[in-house]
Amino acid sequence: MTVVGESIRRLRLIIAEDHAVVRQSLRLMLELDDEVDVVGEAVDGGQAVSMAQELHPDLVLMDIRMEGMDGVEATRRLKEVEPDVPVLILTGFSEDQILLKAVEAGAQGFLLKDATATEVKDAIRRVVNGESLVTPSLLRKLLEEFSQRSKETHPAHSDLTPREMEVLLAVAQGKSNEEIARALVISEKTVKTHLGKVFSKLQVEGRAQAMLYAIREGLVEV
Amino acid sequence: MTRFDPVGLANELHDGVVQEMSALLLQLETYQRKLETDPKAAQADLDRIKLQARQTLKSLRQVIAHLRQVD
Repeated sequence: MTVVGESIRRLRLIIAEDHAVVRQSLRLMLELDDEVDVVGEAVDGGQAVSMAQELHPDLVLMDIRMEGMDGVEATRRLKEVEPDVPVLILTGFSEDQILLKAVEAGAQGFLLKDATATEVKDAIRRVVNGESLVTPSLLRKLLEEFSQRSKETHPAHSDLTPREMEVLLAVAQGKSNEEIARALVISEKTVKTHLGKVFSKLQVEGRAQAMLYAIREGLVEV
Repeated sequence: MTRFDPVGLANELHDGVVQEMSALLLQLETYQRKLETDPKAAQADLDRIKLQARQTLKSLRQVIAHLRQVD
């Protein structure tokens, strides 16, 4: 729920899922929540992208395996045309390689299809608030994968101020904004400001990609 | 007799039974929430959920029948 002035605005979501029965069941579950409005249902990635361009939702819930354009390609295209619309990937399995591609495409989080209603609601709220969301087991896989990739020369982080570097390292350790604020004795708002600059300087989208950057560049140990 | 095709079987399971089970779980989540807020509506949902469970069972039986034909 986003508070605009004194009025409360419902979160506007698009569901992209090619299996009709799953899509409808998801919609019915989400709409039990007074804070959520499903404004569009897309049956493939291409439709999700055009729908998002038209409706400017607060979030797209994107199935990863779809006939036609899949969720990874749709996320990549969506980020080109609507970079501010967060994507929460819906997945049946933790298929490592596909999930890695989804992070690289700009997805902010993953949600297993067997998540409880409370978990789904929590995930949506967190991703809309700018957090990244991966399960601990998936995070481990992501870290392992990127630690194995060869380190490439990329001096982008040399532009970070010492404070921004501290924030990046804390993010790479999976700390929340609240924890970082407490550790560095600064406000959460200041943490967000630092993070914005870190993302911009590293040319990454969100915490998950910043974390992967830190791993890839050997700034933190896995 | 058909040749055993593990990838085909995986796809069949993924697009059929797995999706139906996912839908079933989502419907049960909805049912549970409605029980707290609107018990009458929740009761009405049970028939639909049972139908979904039967459909899932049917899909699973189809996969088993398919496997039994494999050499």
